[in-house]
Amino acid sequence: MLFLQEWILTLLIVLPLVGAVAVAIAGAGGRPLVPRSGENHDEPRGPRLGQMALAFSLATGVLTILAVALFFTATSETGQNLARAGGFALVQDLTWVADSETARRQIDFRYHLGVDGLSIWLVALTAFITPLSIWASFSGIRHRQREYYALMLLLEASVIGVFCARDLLLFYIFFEFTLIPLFFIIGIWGGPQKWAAAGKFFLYTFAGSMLTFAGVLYLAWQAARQGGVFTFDIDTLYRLQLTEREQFWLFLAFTAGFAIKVPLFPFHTWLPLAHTEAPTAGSVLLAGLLLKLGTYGFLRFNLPMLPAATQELAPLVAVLAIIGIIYGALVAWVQDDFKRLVAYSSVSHLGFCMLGMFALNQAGLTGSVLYMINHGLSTGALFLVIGMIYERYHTRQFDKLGGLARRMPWMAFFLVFFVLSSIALPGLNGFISEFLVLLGTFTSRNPLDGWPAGPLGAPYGVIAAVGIILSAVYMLAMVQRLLFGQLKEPEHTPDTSGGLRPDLTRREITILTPIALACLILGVYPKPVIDSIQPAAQQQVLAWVYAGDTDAAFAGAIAPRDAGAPARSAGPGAKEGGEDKDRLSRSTVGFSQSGFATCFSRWGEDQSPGFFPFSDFSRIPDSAVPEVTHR
Amino acid sequence: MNGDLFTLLAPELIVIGGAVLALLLGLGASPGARSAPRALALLSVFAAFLVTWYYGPSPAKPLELAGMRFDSLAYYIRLIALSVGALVLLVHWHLPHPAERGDVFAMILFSLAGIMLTSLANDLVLLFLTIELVSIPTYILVSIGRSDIRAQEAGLKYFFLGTLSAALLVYGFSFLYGAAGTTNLSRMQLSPAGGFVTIGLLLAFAGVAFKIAAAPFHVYAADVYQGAAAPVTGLLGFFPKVAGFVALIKLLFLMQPSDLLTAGWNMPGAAFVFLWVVAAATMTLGNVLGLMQTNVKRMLAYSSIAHSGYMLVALLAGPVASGGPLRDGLSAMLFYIVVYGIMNLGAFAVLALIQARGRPAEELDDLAGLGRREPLAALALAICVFSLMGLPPTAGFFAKVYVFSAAISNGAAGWHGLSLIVLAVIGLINSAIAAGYYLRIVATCYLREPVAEPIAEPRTAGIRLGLLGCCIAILVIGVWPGGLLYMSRLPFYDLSAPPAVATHSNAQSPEPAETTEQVYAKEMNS
Amino acid sequence: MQEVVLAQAVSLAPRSYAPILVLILLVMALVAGILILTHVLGPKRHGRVKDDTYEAGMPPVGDARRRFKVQFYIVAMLFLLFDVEVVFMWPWAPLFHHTSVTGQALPGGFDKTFLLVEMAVFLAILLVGYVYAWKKGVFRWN
Repeated sequence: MLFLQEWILTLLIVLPLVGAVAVAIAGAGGRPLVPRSGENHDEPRGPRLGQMALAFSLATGVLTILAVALFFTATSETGQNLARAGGFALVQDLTWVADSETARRQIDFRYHLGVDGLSIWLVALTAFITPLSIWASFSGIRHRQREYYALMLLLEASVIGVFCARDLLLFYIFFEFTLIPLFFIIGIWGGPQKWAAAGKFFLYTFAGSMLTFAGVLYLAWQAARQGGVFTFDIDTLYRLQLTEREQFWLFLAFTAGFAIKVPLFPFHTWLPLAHTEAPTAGSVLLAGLLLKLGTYGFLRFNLPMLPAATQELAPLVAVLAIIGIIYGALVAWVQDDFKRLVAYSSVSHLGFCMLGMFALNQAGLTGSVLYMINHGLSTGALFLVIGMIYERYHTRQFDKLGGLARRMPWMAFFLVFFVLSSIALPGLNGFISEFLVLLGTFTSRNPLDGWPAGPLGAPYGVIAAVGIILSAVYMLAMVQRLLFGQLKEPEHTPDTSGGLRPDLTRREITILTPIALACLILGVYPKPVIDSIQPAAQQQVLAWVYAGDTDAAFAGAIAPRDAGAPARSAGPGAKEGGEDKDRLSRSTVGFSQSGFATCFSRWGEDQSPGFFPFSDFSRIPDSAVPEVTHR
Repeated sequence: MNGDLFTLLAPELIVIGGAVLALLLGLGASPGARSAPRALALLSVFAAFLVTWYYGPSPAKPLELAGMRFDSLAYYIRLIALSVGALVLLVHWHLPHPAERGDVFAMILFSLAGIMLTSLANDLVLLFLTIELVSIPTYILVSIGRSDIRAQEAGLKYFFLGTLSAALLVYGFSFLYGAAGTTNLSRMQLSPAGGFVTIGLLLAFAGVAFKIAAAPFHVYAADVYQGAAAPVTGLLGFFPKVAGFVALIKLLFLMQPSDLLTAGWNMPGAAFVFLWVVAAATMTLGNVLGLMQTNVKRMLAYSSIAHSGYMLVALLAGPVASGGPLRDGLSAMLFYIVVYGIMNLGAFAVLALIQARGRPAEELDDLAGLGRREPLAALALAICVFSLMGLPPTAGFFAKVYVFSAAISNGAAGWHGLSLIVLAVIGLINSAIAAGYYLRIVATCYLREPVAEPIAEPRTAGIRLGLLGCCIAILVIGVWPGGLLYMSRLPFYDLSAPPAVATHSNAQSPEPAETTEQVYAKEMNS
Repeated sequence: MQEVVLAQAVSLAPRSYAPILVLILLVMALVAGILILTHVLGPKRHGRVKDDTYEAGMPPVGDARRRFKVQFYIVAMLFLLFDVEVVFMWPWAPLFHHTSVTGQALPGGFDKTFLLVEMAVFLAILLVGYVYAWKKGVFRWN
């Protein structure tokens, strides 16, 4: 069991990799590696390759379920439940590159994996979405299947790697590597402008991440200067002492890479093209997973590592996020291509995600992380449904289609369902996260009970809330134009070749149903998810953001019981003694639940159970907060 | 009889002996004799490698003898030159007409021996001669066996500009000699403040800049790369560059007080500014001009220019004792150059392998649809190009990590440090620009439908083997960079160590070090 | 070490430059004498060909882009190469003399056997170059 706990994350990365290689080899088997004849030579092998890839990704999914179970039962040495304490579990920490030239080690790259409440759900989302995308590709991908399925699995492996990495260099490697499979997926199997889309996607993100790279190297150097070892280990980097000027520049460097990935408002221009031109599964993975790499990067690095710059620049980021919300919504409204509409809706939604994150309080952060998951589910599903329409009608133009509800009732059901989820109908998943994000934004400046004041406030919330109305407007307009009214179809359609029917096939329904169920469950009972996100957001992000804060009121609220706030070690000298104490204090930043609890209790009647059925924020007993390190 | 020199120079002697034999065998009339040179060349490279490996890095004190210095830098350069040299030989395996095999393989070996001797040279005269020994065979390789008018132009251009650069180099050396009064590098402790030193260094840098294709002496590169056969072009990206950078290292160490390694280079401000501007201009010009090309060979030529710029960034960061390998620009550069040599060679090996329209692939159109027609060749090209781009998990990524880490981590001390950070950022922005044209190569292979029906030339096991070697090296170093990193760190330790001059001289001649001037002056006075 | 070796080689050279001056004067006298003698004693015939600049028959005036046979260049280059390389033997000779007369090794431990082997290697390389040029047909004139 212990072995499994240590190795399961590696397995999650390796299994899809093995699958990719297996698919590539199996696809080449039986015919010369060097085909001379024309197209379609691999056509007959298609289903077999697809099923093989599906099997591998499903196996990864099963392993992920196991990983989630292990995560929730993982305990620290003293028997604390790590998931509830917001610590890291399933940790694997191996030396990767280290010089043995001197007794004193000077470089130390680590193969360090681990998940906490923030990342475990993103890993789960990845393992959940990928098999469904692969399955959904059975009818749409008709040529070069070998490469296609191998690349899909490669992408899955690298995205899981990003979310698990606990070493900045490892993170960066996985982060960069995601570009390669997605570039090919868009470029080979995309729409008419696929080259432009793939190139733009690649170059935008690559250019941004080059600046991030400069920041990464600078941090490693600071680690060497302050601790004597060139290391990219995230735990060590968190403890660096950086001046405000350094933080400012580092914040810009990291933002350059992550903001393009998110995408934050002025950097979003690659996204509509990439989304529109990508094949269905490509869009699903891009919207569902790849965009989250950006928000996850902000969450993991900008906030905890550069707290001063974060607090200073949060209003700026929030303004950009709000511009993105409004602008994305308005542009989505006027699209005549419904895939492009959903693409712009992503710009808008990710704006919410960023806004909640930079509210820098518990509600905002929790909502933001939940938003990542929900957006992955609902937008991913929307892209799937749109892909299913496209396979039948070969058009994405509103004016060529209409009244499809008559022809495709199942499709109509799912489309409406996911649209409602996307516009945050209460009872579905989107609502929870959007609510928490706005709650966090509104209460950011005026926290309760001694919480440190966040940078945002009601004005931000008010303007952002307009985005909710707009999203309802454009989404429902899309539903209305597509599904209702006179039946309108292009000639010679629907295309029913390749085993399709006019309405959704059983396969397609089976693909969409789990997502719909997930949306429903997260909408009705998100407690388990929130309960693990929330302490992690507290321990892994907020505790660091406000660590240097000497605000007396704050000290009372989230200060650990023994020492001060997690002290940033003051260099090599302080490191020796400081290390263990830091670790200790960091895990014991027991946030007294009073702030959050009171906030919710004002909405409800009394403290227990909370007002909302979906989560009970007031019920994190003090005893659940670990007394010792999570490692 | 002093056998030490022959023993110490055994790797070089083996390579040169192989070259001479290959030259003679290539003249033979029988087909058997004519196919012997390539096997002989490979064999001698392997033998030289084994001998070098057997000797190991130099002992604690580097040995100085006969104008040469046997230290770990030489050990490292010998090893990498011989390993990449073996790949180069494989890539050339099928290139020459049987009648020219002897010439081609002998020239490669001569050039290789030149690199190894450059790393040993401890005297300005020897340094100049060895650099020319590297260069002159490459002039011949560029135009040998090619009747194409462009190849002729390339050969002629390369030769004349090379000669000019040699003149600049030797002119610069003469100033350095004037300033120091000796040609022995260990004994020229130059003060960076001297006017002669600055002029001499700038002239020598200019001469070396040609060898490494750095701006503003880069203009020949595109034409020469385009004109030369693809395998030769792969060689051009490595051999002259190594020699040039080794010469730069040796020149920069002239001003280095042995205990001053903590602070990077000790050089005249003008030389620093010169190298800074050259590095920035080289990266930027290379990449921006690379974006405009449609010919893959020209593209890779500009990429070669740009990569010289990255290496200059590392070199400028300099050797730094504190802070470990990631702060040490010297070892970063030594790491980078071997990685660059391999990935560049791999890319050109693919071009040499692929035929389109009945001739070796050269234009982007020739590669269209390669992913469909020749999946393995396309995969190899993609690996090499992604490595050139610096994407993980390839060796190119770690090369970038080390180079830019060295530049960034030396960036605290005043304007000098800040300018290094600025240079690193310029370099990283350039990496992003470069991705534009690298990506076009990959995109053409995989995303476009075939235009010219590219096919891999049959019966080319040598090139394929060489290509395989390149790809494996790229991936292995990409996943486990520790080994090469450790090796590249070796030279750092004894470059500053005081030499063990006296250990091998005879006991009866403990002559104090006298400069030639002093000796002559004594003669004249007596 | 090199400088010391050089210095020792220099010390073997004559101390005075007077013999050289005598040599120069002698050479000048010889040249002048031969020229004067041939002018006085030689038979004189005049003709169109005989009065040309080059008695070999090459027209001295013509198109600047006239082609020469490529062998001229190759032979000229070979001549230069061998000529220059033979110069290497000059510094070698006094050093070898020094070691063989005194029986002392040069600084660095280079004794006379080493020097002999070194020169043999050098000559062997020259020989290889010669064989190579010959086999490549450089000396074939047609």
